[in-house]
Amino acid sequence: MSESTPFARPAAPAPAPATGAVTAPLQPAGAAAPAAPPAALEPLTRGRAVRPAEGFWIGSLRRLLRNKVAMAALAGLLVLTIASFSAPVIAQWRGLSRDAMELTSNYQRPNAVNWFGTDEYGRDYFIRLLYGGQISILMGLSVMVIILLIAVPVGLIAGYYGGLVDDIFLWVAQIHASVPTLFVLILVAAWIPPTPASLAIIIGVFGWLGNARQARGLTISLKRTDYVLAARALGASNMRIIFRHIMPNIISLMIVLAGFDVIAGILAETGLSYLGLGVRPPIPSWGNMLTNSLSYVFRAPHLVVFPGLAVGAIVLCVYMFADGLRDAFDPRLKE
Amino acid sequence: MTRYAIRRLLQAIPLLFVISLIGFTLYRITPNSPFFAELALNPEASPEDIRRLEEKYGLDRPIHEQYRTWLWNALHGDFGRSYFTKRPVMEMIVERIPNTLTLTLSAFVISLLVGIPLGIICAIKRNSVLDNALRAIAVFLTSFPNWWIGLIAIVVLGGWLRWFPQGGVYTIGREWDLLDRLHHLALPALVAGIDGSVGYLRIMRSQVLEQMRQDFVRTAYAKGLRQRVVMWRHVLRNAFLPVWTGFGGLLAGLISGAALLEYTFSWPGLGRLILDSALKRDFPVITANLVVASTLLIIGYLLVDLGYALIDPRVRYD
Repeated sequence: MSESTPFARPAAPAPAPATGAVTAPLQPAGAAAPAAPPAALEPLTRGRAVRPAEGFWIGSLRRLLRNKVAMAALAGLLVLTIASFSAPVIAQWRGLSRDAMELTSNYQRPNAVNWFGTDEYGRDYFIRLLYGGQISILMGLSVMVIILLIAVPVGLIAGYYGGLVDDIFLWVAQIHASVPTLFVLILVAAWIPPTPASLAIIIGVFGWLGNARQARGLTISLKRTDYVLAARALGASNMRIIFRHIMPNIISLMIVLAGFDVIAGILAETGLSYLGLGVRPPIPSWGNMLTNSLSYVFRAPHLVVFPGLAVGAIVLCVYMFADGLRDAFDPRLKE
Repeated sequence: MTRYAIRRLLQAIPLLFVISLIGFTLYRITPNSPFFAELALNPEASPEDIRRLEEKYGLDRPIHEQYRTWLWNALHGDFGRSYFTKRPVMEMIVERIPNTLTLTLSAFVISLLVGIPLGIICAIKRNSVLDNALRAIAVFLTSFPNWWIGLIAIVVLGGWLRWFPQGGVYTIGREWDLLDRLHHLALPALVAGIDGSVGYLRIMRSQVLEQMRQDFVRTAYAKGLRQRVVMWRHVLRNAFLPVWTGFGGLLAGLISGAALLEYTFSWPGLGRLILDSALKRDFPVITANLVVASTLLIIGYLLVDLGYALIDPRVRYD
């Protein structure tokens, strides 16, 4: 119990002394360990594939890999990611570019050259959509990382120490819950210099509270467990208990929540960019491609359809994958 | 219960104080005043003009002094005037509160009316074709931003089919026509409501399934009660409690998310106002709007908690 011991490892058998040791006192001295197990156990094991002992992570991974929906979602994500990040190559191959305006051929319907048509400035919509995908994917991932970097330590410390630290945390949480989040995001996004990086930071900074609350709750229940008591009895410092003993048990919860943070990041970026406060043109993002779409929607309805479908596709994939993660890491939650 | 409500409202005061402090300082600590942003490129305005305007509105004084003045006036009901429309800020906000509340509350009612019955049906007919189809639709719907669904609804139902107006609260010249207002409300409320109903479908389904596994339900069936009676008397009553708990979060989501829907549907509500004032850096409007929106949210949470005591006899506040 000295090292980090994830709670979900009970499936792993205790190392060696299975049958041999138990039966040893009954055996004559010489025949102890290698002796055959009692005959009664034979029919149970014979001819049956006994699954090798596996740990929590391997088991979860196996469950995840077996989940067809989650794997399909992962494949979808990979396709979207590869397509987005090979945008420059695709643009070169098609002889198109992200920003080149052809005002004489704007509002083109989808055709053989411009697969998704052209926008109000005659820029190729497909290429812009691919570049927009880069923003969305990076935004989702970086928001998730920022949220976890803040939420995990805060949740651990607030939950573990309790008292004043926890009171401060709860107070901040209460203020945060009393303000409409999007209002604050609008205010801050209009206030900071508009770059994708600063956008990711503000979305993350105003989005970590839910995760921190979950981490805090789990920490509070974990700090009362016997193995934490044992670690303390062995003289482990608070920091060691928090990061070596409690944190590994919170990670699986955080992995599950991380998928939903990615979604929150993508949707927040899209929404703010749509309002004109997020990623600014000429950098395309799926949100800002829709900003003025209503003013030309009757000339070119496809311009409204594609970015929204792209957002829906990526969010759907992340959602299905996150759902698979939850089932894999916490089978009890499965209905 | 009255005492509890009063205590909660008293606790809200420091919260609102902090929120107003944030809303007040956030924009003022950056160097450029709204007048600078507005007039810097105007060749007719000299730097002296800008400075004179800043002086007139007290923007040249230290922030803590400015806040003290603002707080004193606010406590006397005076939230100042907008820098740009010159109208009293409270007047601008109060005329928008009904718009935001109408949209939010009707979306709330629609999501309950759609989500809860569907959730119950899904639970009763679990793993049937209907259940799977509804759940697939639910996952599908949540994946799209509701304002984009709003855009598509405007294009299809408002533009091509012309069943609904494409935005706004009423037709100009028909301010008092209730049917006309409902007609304008229908599309945004339906979009927000159906989006919200998805969450309720999910909570309600899992809760009903959870309750149906309980021993008291088996006992009820063993007594020979009909399914309808068991569902209404035993299952739904218990299943509804967590749904009620979720109201607070949904309310927050609706008030907050209304900003995007209001923008899409040209709906003059608080969310639209905060966007406009943030872009113009209209300090008095920003601060007051943030405080008012937070107050609405705090009152919403309080009502949810008080309602909890009404529907669950185990909960007592005193």
